[in-house]
Amino acid sequence: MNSLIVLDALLLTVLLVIGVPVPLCFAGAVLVLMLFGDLGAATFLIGAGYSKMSSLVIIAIPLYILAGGIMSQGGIATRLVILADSVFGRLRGGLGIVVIMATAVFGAISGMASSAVAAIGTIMIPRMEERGYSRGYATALVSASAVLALLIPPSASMILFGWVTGTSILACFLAPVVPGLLLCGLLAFWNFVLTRNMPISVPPPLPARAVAREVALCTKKAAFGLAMPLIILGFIYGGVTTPTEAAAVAVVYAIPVSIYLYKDIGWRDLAEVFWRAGQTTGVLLVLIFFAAMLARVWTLENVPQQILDGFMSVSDNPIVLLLLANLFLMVIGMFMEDVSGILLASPLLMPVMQQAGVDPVQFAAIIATNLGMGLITPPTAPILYFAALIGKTPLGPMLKPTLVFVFLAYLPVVLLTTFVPELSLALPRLVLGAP
Amino acid sequence: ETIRLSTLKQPGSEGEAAALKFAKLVTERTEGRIEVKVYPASQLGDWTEVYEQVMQGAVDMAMQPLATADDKRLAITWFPYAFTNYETAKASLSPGGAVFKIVNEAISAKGLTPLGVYGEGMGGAGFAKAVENPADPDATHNLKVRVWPGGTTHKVLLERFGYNTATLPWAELYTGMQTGVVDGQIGGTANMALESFKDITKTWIQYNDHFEGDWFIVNSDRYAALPEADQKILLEAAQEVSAERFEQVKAADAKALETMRAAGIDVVTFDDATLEKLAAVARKDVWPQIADELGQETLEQLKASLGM
Amino acid sequence: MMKEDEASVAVAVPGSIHGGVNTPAFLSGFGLRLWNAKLKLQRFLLLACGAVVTALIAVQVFTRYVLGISIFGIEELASFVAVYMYFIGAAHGAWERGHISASLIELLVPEGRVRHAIALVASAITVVLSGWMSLWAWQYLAFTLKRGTMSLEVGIHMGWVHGIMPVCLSLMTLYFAVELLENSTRMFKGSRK
Ligand code: NA
Ligand code: NA
Repeated sequence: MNSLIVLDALLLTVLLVIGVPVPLCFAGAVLVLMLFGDLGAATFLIGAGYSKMSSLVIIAIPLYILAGGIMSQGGIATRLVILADSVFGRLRGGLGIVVIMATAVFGAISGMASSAVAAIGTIMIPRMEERGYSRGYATALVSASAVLALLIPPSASMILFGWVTGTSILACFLAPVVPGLLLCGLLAFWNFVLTRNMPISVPPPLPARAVAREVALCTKKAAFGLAMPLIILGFIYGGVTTPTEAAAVAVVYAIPVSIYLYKDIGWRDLAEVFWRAGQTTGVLLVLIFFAAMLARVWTLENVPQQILDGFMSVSDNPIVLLLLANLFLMVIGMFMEDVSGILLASPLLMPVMQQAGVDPVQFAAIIATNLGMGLITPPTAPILYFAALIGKTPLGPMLKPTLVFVFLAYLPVVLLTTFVPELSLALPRLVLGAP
Repeated sequence: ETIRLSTLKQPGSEGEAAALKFAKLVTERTEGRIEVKVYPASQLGDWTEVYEQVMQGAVDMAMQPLATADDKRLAITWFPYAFTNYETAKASLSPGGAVFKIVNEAISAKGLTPLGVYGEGMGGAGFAKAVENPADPDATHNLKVRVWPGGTTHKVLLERFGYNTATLPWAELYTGMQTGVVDGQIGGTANMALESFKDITKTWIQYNDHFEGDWFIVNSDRYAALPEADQKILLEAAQEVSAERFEQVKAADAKALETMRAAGIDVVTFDDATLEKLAAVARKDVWPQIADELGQETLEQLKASLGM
Repeated sequence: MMKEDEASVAVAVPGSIHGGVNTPAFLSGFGLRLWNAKLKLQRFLLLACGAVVTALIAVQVFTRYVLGISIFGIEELASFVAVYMYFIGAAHGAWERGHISASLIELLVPEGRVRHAIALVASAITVVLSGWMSLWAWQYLAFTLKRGTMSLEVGIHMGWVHGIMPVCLSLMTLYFAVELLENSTRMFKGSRK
């Protein structure tokens, strides 16, 4: 590999580690190549960044952030949690299941893991602690489940992946669903094992009739929330709207539900949700802006080809190539959150995936599960830290359960997704027909 | 030294092969002094962006459509029914031809030099549904056809031909046609439809509405800085690739239509009389509405070249 | 009604666990009021952009699906408003120290002078890079103005759109510079002890 590129990657790592904001780390890596490479005028890079971020497809991201913000502030998340509680709350270890299920459903509304942490964590962590779960465990479970928001459509990360690689966003939405459900199952299993010895109090069992009545009542209260994913996915797959347009419909739907039906927020709060969503979006999009610049410079310098050549020099066996690609993603996932990771890794690994005969849609699922795992693997584990912040928990007690979730739930799912194409391809084929 | 050439064409396509052939000719004839590195599949950005980069000199060359963002006259390169057959297209798009002259004048002011045109083929429209009475310009179709951003010319044309139009980003077009957000698309050739929409195309109508061409453009400063002999080699290589393609383009289109039929797509073609009728309708009813897209002066030049 | 602190946590960007905001400590009186008015304006614009983008896209769905027509230029307009939102939001995020960072320093280096020194270096680099990128963005705007690029559909001069990039990147640089100032003050005070 070209020594300037190696130097550039090193510089990028150093800037990341000392705490320069990620977008500017990308800018630093760009700058070095412009100063020492042979790429000529630099201003065109601003055009490259602009062209990526001004895409209409990308507008889905702020809109889903906005919809998720209104949902979580507007009482829809609370009602989903209460519903899940009425179904699973009376089982042993049941509140753990409530977290997993409520996050999965919430994930079908929200496009980002962070809003899932905020929405579910604020409600569930204190409640779990009340019933005897350790606070550290509760927080770890919330962060491990929050990643489901990224695997269950809609997903900001999958929009980005589809956009960067030119893959159908609808197919990318569907690809990580089955791996995500598998993950739900594994998390539920380990929840059962890990909470065996906790002094958990379970509310006394109710007669089946009373339970049914409660569930029915909660379902009714949560109905407008539950309708939301049906509307979003129904509109998209029913040919009414594109994914971007469905996000706008979701926002338009969420406003009256939150303000007039649930009455949990007023117009003033809504204004705050709007500008905060704008800021969250801006922070993400400026990352896309600089990542697009870096990706462009790296393409001009042939980095993706060099990475493929490097992998091929180890072996041209598809299995080895896929393992190497996963290792590469894991390292990226250790140091970056999903958005930067996808922006950086997907163009770099695309040639490797082609060489290994992997369908881009399956690659979407591989990258989603792998970089999703990266969100809770230290050292850089934004969702884990964010959950710690929400749960007001030190990291120490969260680490053990997190390691269990990473190695015994996430890693198996990543490997299965990598080596069993059907897991990610069956659903897109079923819904969308042949490729 | 290395010249970076960007193209939209996918690896393995005839268009990429043409770009690679150009690269090979240049390397051979300059005895390796100049190496042309081809970046296929819009790796260096979409065409409007690359167009800008060639202007700035960040990318040396491109083989692609011309962006109208800073000179609307360039819409002449896809103006509906500016040509209805291959012969007039070839004559007009070769150096000395009417359209080539207009384009040369427009883009040289922006620091770009045209070297040649790779003829992709005659345009048409693809649908995910059946289309009734395609030959009748006065029929009404209850179908939404996607027009590319900025393709006002074809929006007006399609509405005249009885369709509804819709705008959708390219990235969402495939699945949009699949789910039914839109029913069809216009703006490319049969070959391009096969490349991007083969599985979801039910009907292809060979309207011959425009001639799709990719222009070999080079940054003028970069070009001027080359020794004169090398400039000549670049120009001749582009011309050679262009001329060779113009000989094959009719056959390439015919082959693409055959491939479509073999894939079970309902292919609609028109005889010369029908094509002339469609063209006459477009020129009479559509051109006055879209004259501004081109500028009156350029439209007059076009009309003169067609003997109108 | 949601509580203030809950709201800000709920949609905050993960990754940054820094506290504080980048308002210069020396500002007071009229200067401070002006500074805060600018932040309020940023928030208002974010709100407005978000609402307009939502409305434009929703209108397009309505007209296409219900009325069977598409209004040319809506998508383009929406993407322009969105770009305004992104850059204004990114600048506001720099004020709130909300930018995504992958710092390992909090984990590896104990609280103290060394950590302060590293933070100082990092924020100095941040200011330089941010300033440099602002410069590029100004140059790009100059290129757009010289070229006279018009938007494809709405037909507005692209300078209006591209102009938001250098303005907001410069504003971001200003906020980062305030952070640098605070870091160096902290370092300086520490060394006097
Ligand atoms: Na989701
Ligand atoms: Na990580």
